[in-house]
Amino acid sequence: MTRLRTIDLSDVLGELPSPSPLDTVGDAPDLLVCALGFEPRTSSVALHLAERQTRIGAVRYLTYAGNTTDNEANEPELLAALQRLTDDVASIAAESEDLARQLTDVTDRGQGSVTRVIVDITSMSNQLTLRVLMPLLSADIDVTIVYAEAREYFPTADEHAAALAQGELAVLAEGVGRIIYGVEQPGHHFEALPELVLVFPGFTPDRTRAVLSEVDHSLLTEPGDRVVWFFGRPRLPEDQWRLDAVRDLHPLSASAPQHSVSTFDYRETIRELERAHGGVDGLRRITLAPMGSKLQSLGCALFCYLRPDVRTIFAAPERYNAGRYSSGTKALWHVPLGDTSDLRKRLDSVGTFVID
Amino acid sequence: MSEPLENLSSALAEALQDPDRLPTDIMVRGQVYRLKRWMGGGYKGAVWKATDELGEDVALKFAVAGDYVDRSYLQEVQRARKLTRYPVFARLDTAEEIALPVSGHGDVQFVCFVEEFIPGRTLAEILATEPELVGPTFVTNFVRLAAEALSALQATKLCHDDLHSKNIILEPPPEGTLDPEHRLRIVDMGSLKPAGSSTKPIDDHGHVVRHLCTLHDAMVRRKLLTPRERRYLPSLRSLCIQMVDEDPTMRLHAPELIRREFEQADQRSQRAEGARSAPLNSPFEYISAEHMADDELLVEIFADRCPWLDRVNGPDPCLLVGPRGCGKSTIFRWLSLRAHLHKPSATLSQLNVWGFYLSCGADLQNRLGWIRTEALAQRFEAELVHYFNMTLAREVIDTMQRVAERADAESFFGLASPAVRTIHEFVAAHLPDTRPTLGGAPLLRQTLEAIEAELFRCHSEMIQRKPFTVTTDAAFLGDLTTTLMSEVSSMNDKKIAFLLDDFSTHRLSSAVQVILNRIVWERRSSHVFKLSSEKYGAVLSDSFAATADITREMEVIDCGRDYIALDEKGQREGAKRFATQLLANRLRAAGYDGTPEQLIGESSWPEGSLAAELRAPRAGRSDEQYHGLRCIADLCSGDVATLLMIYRRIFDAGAVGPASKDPVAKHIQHRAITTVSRELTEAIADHHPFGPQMHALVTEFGGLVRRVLREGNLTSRGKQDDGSPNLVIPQCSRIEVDRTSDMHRPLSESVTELQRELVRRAVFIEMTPGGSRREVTTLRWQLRRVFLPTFRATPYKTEAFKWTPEQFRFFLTNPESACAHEWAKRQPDRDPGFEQTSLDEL
Repeated sequence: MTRLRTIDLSDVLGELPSPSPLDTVGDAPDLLVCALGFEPRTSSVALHLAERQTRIGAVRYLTYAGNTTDNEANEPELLAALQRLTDDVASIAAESEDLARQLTDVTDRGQGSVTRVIVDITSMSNQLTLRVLMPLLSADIDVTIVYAEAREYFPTADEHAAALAQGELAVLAEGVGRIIYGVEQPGHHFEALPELVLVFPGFTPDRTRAVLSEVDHSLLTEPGDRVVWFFGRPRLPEDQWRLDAVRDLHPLSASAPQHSVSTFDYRETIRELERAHGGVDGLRRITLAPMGSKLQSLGCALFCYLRPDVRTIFAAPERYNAGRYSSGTKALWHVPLGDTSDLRKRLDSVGTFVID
Repeated sequence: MSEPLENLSSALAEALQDPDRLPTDIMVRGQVYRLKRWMGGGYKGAVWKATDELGEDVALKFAVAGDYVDRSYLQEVQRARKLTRYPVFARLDTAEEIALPVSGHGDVQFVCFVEEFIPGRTLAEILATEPELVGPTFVTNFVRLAAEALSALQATKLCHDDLHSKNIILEPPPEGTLDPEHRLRIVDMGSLKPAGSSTKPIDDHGHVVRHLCTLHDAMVRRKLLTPRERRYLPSLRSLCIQMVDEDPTMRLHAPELIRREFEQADQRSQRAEGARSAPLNSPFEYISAEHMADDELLVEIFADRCPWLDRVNGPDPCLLVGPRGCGKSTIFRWLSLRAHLHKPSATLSQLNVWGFYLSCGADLQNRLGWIRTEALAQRFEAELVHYFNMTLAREVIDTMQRVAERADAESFFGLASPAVRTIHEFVAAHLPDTRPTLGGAPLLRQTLEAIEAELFRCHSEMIQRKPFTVTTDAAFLGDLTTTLMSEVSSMNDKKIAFLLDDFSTHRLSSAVQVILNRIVWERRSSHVFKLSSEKYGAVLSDSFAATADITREMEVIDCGRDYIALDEKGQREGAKRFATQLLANRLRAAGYDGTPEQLIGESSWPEGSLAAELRAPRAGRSDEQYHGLRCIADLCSGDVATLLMIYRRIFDAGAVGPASKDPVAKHIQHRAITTVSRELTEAIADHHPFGPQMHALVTEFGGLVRRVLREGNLTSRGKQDDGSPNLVIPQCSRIEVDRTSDMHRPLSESVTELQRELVRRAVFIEMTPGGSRREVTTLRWQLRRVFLPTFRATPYKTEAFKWTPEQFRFFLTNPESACAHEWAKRQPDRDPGFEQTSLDEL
């Protein structure tokens, strides 16, 4: 008798690599994509690779329109490290409408061989991470994600407590600059259906509120079950207070749907998002607002590939508090996603039948 | 003669594909057939397309003779004859054992079956090359074929025994067919066996299940699925599993049941809403019309006492402007024909227009919102027009498909089958890809699926910056509505209106609007456009740089303004009737016994008015000033979403349930109203852009309004009967600015943007410019009324702050000082005992 079962996401997640400490990135990658940020760790991956005499075909570093002075302060160090990797170093404006094309133009130079691309997401915003990863995931290349973890993230527990005691917030960023819907993830919102917003909040509740207000102003006052919260659970025990701190910054009713999701294991992000999506597929207009950790944004990118009916929305701050965002570098991590056509094949198989 | 083979060698199998190694003509049962083209084959034989002596196409199947040592091929011919009357199967004409001369292999014994030739693509080919064709319609069509085939085989006690995906063919219609529809057919009737005698591991039913699984997987992998397709997938998955249930009593096996279950699943997926015991689960479900999937429900709870309904509901173009939450989307959806299609024709006759609704927020913003610059918009001009055309065409076809499903489609609407065919062909002619039309499936539904596929295609290629074929231009919609009018008689009875909801710059950039305005404002006798937008949201010029004289082209209806005109008694009563009806309809739809009059009740104030209550000393009194339908209607006029929010909070706080009939206590109502007001006031800070600035403006201005009400000098308004002055409490939540030219300096760009944002977000409502004494334009702004309870102020007006442009600039740029300055001017000569309260005390 024929037996049917469907491939579950957990079957596929088990095959995806965990983040592991970065040593080398293998022989001569073709392309490194990174971003020039304001945090001290922005050059960490490049320096690490340069110290290991890694040679890379080309480097494209992305530059932001905001916090330019803070970012430019890090440019000499980053550039010096990048130039030790290759002679072909160029910058691309992160806001460029043609960002995807500019990246794939480089990856298309492979001339038959699979292009190996290293994506350093250390200084990429959530939005930029998705803008970079979505087109790369659609190309036939080999991708490795690398990431420098900060030695210390601000606010510290003491700073946060002190600020709260004064009825204030420890400010990581100021104001809300722009609210942007993801170009590459517009969702399929053809029908009149109730909204569902999947939010990864951070330490800046005004950005979260601005996003909810943009989707539907009544989500601020009457969210009901239309907002699902994914609070980040830090990797290290000493950082666990941050989970509660972010929760405290976003006071929710007892019935508000909420989950804690690892800030480190991007696969947990995919799993929890898929769980939230599964019950309402075709019954809600789903919007994803990733404002969490770097590796959560990697999870969000893979989820968006899996579920293109979901649209994304981002709120950029007017300005980051560059001096009190993070300090130092604790560890370097990498996630060798590997051959993207194989990765796509695996993700595409989720929900398909296996006939025994 | 050689020994009968049981399997072909590779060399022989290869030779059987080569026309040069086979004779041109082959004789079977005395008939000569000319070989034309190899169609397929393996180690058991080969299939060739051939023609008979009359030039008719046939399929010749050469089967190894070794398989017919223990049985006669005539038996299979005889079995196939039983299926001749079932058109789903290809007809098997005859068979004979022949010696086929194959170059290099001598004469090889084959049984040659002569079968009806079915042109077209096999299921295997479609899945490999055109998986995008697979959707609910295709699957349902396949299930109908499969169920028909399984039923026929059951009835004839046979099994096909080789029902793989290369033996299922999508046959195109013959040329000249009036209803050119493709149909699925089953071929290769040379393996028929008595039911139950197959020795193969997969029976016919098993093959059908596998095909369904493959179709399911093709949809899953396609990913670009509409909500309806996504709703369909779980049902498809579940039915596949049921078809192989280990428990025979639970297994979905009977062909008629299989067909019915799949058809029902297809039907269910058409609508997002499930079965309900009452139309609404609670009176406050779906506050926004955009979230309500059920058109019938939308119409049921629609409050037709909306004061500006008549002005929108005419045959002329109009631009409806108003803030978010004022009910624009609700009324536009209500105006659409689709929303009313559950009603009898007599009711439909009362509609003024045949409306087709499009939400810019849902259908366009996500996909076109990234085009923000003029350069980008011009680069994609043709694509934008095409995408817009397709989006509206989708709504038209979806609506007409629903019309076609009605029993009175022809008698009332005049939508007969030929008209359906013409509409389908009109759209198909404007699409780049020709999709096969499936027989047995509603034609317009297939048109709809083709449009949706085109929407996915062109968006995907646009964001990848790929050039693609654009097949419609700015005249397309006009041509479509002209076709509707010529083919569907009822479309001549009323104006066709495209209802473009929220055509605002925060949804679509001005650069995109300028491109689309060529279509929106094109004068066509066959249709009009009705637009809604936020204040200042619609751009009024097109890509030919023609600035439209909007007052000539279309009536502008400012619903924010209309609602504010509470000075007129008629308007005020209208607003109250509307607020009451809005709640009454929802209570009824949710199955509540109580009425608004019972549960909320009337407003009444011991001091005679809300202002007097608010001004009177409060010591020892509980706050209950804000209560009752009059008060709520006055506070929320024009704010449908807010109105519902306040009702909801009152119901929650007052524990109102379906059986409740007693009024919620006044102090509970008061608390709910002031809480909502305060939340909304605080939420201004989260608007983007200018949230904090706007919040500061409201906070300062609200404080000023409150102080004037609570502490300001009473104002003289005429005389009382005894000749003494009639003193009234100053109620002043309005700003009036005389924009005299001698004093007017333009505001800076950022202050102008702030000013526009205040109006766009309806923080202040811009009222009709006043004609002042000196014949200068007077800017008149009313603070959105729902903010006023935060400041313990009334929504009524006895006077306005009359400012010069400079004072207004002062207010916009430094509200704290400007309001302090204004208060200093109004400092009362009051008795020293008058209490001073601060906002913090509230």
